[in-house]
Amino acid sequence: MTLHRTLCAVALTAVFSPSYAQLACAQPDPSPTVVFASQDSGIANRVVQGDCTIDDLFNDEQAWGSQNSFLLHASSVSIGLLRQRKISATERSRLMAAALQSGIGRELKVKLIGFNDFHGNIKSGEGSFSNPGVARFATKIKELKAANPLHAVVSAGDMIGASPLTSALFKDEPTIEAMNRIGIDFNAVGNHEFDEGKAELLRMQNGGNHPSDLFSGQGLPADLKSGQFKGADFRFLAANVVDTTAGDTTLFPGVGVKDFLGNKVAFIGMTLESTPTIVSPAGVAGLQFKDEADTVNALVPQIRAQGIESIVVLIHEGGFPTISGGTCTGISGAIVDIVNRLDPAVDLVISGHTHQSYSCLINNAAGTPIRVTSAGQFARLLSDIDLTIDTRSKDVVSVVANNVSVGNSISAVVQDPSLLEIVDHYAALVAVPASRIVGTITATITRGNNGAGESALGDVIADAQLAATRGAITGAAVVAFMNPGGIRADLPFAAPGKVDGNVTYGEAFTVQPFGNSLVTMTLTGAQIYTLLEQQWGTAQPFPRVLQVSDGFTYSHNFPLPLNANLTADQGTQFANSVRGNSYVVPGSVKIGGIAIDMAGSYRVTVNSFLADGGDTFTLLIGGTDRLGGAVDTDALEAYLQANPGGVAPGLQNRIVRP
Amino acid sequence: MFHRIKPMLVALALTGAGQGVQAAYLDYVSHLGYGAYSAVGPGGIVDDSLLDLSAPPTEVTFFGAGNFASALDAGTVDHGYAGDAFLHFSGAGTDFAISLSQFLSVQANGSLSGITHQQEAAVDLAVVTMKIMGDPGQAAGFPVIVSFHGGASALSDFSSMASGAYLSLGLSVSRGSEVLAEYLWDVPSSGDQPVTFSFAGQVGEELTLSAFALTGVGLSDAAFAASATPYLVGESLGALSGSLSVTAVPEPESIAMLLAGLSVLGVHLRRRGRRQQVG
Repeated sequence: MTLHRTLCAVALTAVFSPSYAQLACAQPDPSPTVVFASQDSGIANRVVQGDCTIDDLFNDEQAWGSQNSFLLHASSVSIGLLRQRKISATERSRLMAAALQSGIGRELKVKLIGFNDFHGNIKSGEGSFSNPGVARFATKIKELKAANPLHAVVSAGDMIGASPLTSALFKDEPTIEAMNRIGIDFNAVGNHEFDEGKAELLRMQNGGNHPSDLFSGQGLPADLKSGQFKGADFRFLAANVVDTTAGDTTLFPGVGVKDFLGNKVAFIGMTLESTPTIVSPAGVAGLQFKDEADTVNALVPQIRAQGIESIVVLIHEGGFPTISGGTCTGISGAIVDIVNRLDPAVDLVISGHTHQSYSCLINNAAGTPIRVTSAGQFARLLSDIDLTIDTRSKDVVSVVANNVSVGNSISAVVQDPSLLEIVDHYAALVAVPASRIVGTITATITRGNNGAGESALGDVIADAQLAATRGAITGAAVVAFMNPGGIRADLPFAAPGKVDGNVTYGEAFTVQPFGNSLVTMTLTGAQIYTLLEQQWGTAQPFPRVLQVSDGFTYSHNFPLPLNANLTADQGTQFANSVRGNSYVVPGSVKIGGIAIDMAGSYRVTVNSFLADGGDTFTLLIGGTDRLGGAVDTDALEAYLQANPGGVAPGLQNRIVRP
Repeated sequence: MFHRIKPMLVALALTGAGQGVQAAYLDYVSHLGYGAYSAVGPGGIVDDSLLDLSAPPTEVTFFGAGNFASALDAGTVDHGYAGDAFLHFSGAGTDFAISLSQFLSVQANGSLSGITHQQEAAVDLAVVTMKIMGDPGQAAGFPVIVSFHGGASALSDFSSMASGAYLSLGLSVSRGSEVLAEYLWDVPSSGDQPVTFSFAGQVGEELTLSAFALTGVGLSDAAFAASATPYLVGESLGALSGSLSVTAVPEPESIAMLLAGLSVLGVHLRRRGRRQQVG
C-alpha cells in the first residue's frame, strides 16, 4: 500500500516534472534551508528521498522557459512531498511563497555564438599565421555552448568562397563538413556564397557531388551520405535573394526559428543588396537582391504574427569601427544606414562583410540604440552574445556581447580532435597537388598598389593572361585587364617547406582561388576609354583600378588615394562628388607606345568574372567575338614555366598619375 | 524491457498510420477563474488572492501561497495555504493540474480558551473555453475522441479539535449545458485515484472545462492547555492533474491495423512467455 501510494504520488507529480523521478543525488545540497535562487524559504533542508535533500528535488538551478513552468514544477514536487508526509502543509505554503517570490522563470538567458567571413579557413596557419583553424574554432564554440545549454551558433555570411586551398580545392565541401561536425544553426548567405553560382550554392545546402569536379565528394565516410557530399546540416538563409526563375520565392528561407523552452528566437538572414556588383554576374543570374532594411521590416509583422518577439538579423554587410575591437567609439559604413531604418522590433544585428571586429550600438528607426556585432574574419574571433528574454512578453530585454579570441595558429587552445580529423584528411589529399612546383620568381611579388593603383603582382598576372591569349589561335589579344579584387594574396619568395624562389600550386591557387577562365573579346578604342572610366564609375562602391599587361599604358588624375583603402571621409567624398567623373587623360591610352584609335578594334583579354560585367565593369558585357580560354591559374603556371630564370616583380610603370 | 517496448511501438505505429498524424488538439479560447484564501479569527480577517499569471493562448495559471499568524495573549494561531491551477495548451496535448493545501495549528504558551477561527481556500477554474482543432485533413464536424488521463491525490489530516473541515476536488468538461464528463472527490479522506474519461466530440466545436479545489478548517470555542509543541488542528491537500488529448475516431481499416499491431504484440509476448518457461 505504501509502495502503491508512493508510486502513485510520483506518477502524479511526474506528469509535468519527469526530473522528479531522478532521485540519485551524488552531491546532496548542503544548504541549511531550502533556497530558490536567492529566495530563502526558511524551511529546514533535510534528506527526504534516498540521498536527496528537499533542496535537491527542486530544480531551481536549471533554466525554465516560463515562471509558470517553474511554479508547476515546484507545486508538483511539494505535492509529492506533502502527500508522503515528508513535509507539512505549513512548509508547503512557505515553499510555494518562496518559489513565487524567487522570480525563477521570469527571464531566460540564451547564448548566441556569432561569426562571419570564415572563408573556408579550416586549416591552422594556412594563408596566415593568425588563422587558428577550425579545430581551435570548434573548441572555443564548444566552451561557449557548455556555458549555456540554450544556445545557437550563427554565421553572417561568406562562410565559403575565396577560401584557402585545403577547402577550395574540394569545392568548399570540407568547410561545410566541419560546420556540420561543430553543429551550427544558421548561415546567412554572403556575396562569396554566390561565387560559383546558384546551382553550386544549392548543392552546398542539399548535398550531392559536383557534376564534373573530381575533387568533390572526397570527405570521410562519416561526413558523406550515400558516398557523396552530404550538404549542410544547418540552414542557409537568404531573405533578400529572390529567385525570379522559381516563382519569385527566396532562394533559401528568409527566417530560421529556434525554440528555447517555448521562447522562440527568429533569425532573419541576408546578404548585401549590392551583391550583384561584387560577384560574377553568371553566379547571380536569375536572382534579385532586395533592400536589406525593407526586407527585414516586411518580415517583422509576419514573425510577430507567429507570437515571436525576439528577432535577430544576420546580415552580410558591415561597417568600420573608429577603433577596431574593444569598446566601440564610433562606426561608419553601409550597416549604419541599414540599422537606422530597422523596425524597432529587431533586437540584435550580427553583421559581417567588412572583416572588422566590433560590438557597437547603432540607432534603429525609432532612434533607440541596438547592438550590432561583427567578429573579424577567418575563424579568429567569435561573438559571445547573451540574450535575456522576458518569458512573458517573449521579447529580448537585454543584449550583452563580447568578441572573444579563438587564438592563432600556435596558441595553446586545444584543437578538437573531431575537427582535426577532417582537416588532416583534406590536408593529406591536398599535399601533393599543393606542393607541386609551378615555376620560380626572383623576389616576393606583392599585390599592394602604388599611388597610381598598380601592383607588381597585378602586372605579372595581366602579363600571364596576355601571354596565354596572344597567339592567333588562343585569341590574338593585345592587352589583358585583371580585377584587383581577384588577387587574393602575395606570391612569397620564401616560405616553409619549399626552396626559395619556387612557386607552388598551393601559392598560385591562394592568389587566384576562384577558378575563373580567360575570355578574349573585341572592344573599340572608345570602349577601352569607357572601361577605364568605369574604374571609378557611378556604380562603384570604391575605386577599382584594373591591372594591365605589358605594353598598355595610360595616365589618369583620379583625386583620391589608390594605395590604401579610403577612410570613411574619403569614402563619402568618393560617393558624393568623385565617382562618375572622367579622370583618364585623353590621348594617353597607348598600346606599344602608340595611342589607341577610338574607332579601332582591339582584342582584349579578361577573366570570366569581368567578362560578365563583374565588379560593375558592365561595358565588358558588350565585348564582341568572344573566345574562351584557359583557367587563370593555368595561365599563370604557363607564364612561369615560360620564364625559367624566374619571373621578377612587375615594375608598376604602366599606369601613371602625374 | 526493450523486448517488450519494440513490438508495442510496432503496434502503435500500425494504428498511427491509419489515423494519419495525431495533430488534433485543443486550442485555448478564453478563461475565467479565481483563487482565494480567507480566514476569520482572533486576529481579525485575512484575505488573500491567487495571482492570475496566465499567458494566453498557451497557459492559464493561477498561483498563490500565504502564511499567517494571529497573535493571542498566550500564543498564536498559525494558518495558511498554497494553491494553484495550471493549464498548458499545445499541439501535443493539454496538460492540466490543480492543487490546494492548507494548515491550521495553535501554539499555546499558556492555557487558551474560547478560540474560534474559520479558514477557507479555493482554486476555481470556473470556465475555460477550448476549441477542438483538427489536423489539415479534418474539417469541422470530423469526429474525434477527447480523453483525459491523470490522477487525483488527497491528504486529509484533521484532529478531533477541528470543526468545519472539508476537502473537495472536481473536474468536468461540458458542451454548452451538457456535462460530458465529470470527476468529483468530496470526502475529506486521504488516498490516490486514477482519473480517466473520454467522450466523443467533433472538430470545430467548443468545450468548457471547469475545475476546482476547495478546503477549509476551523476551531469553534476551542481550548488548549499550555504546550511546548504546537497543536496541529489540521492540514489537507487535494491535487488533480493529467492530460487532455484529442484523437481521430479510428476508421475501419485502421481498426484492422490496430488489431494487426496488437497481434504482433500478442505473438511476441507469447513467445517471450515460452522462453521464460524454458529458462
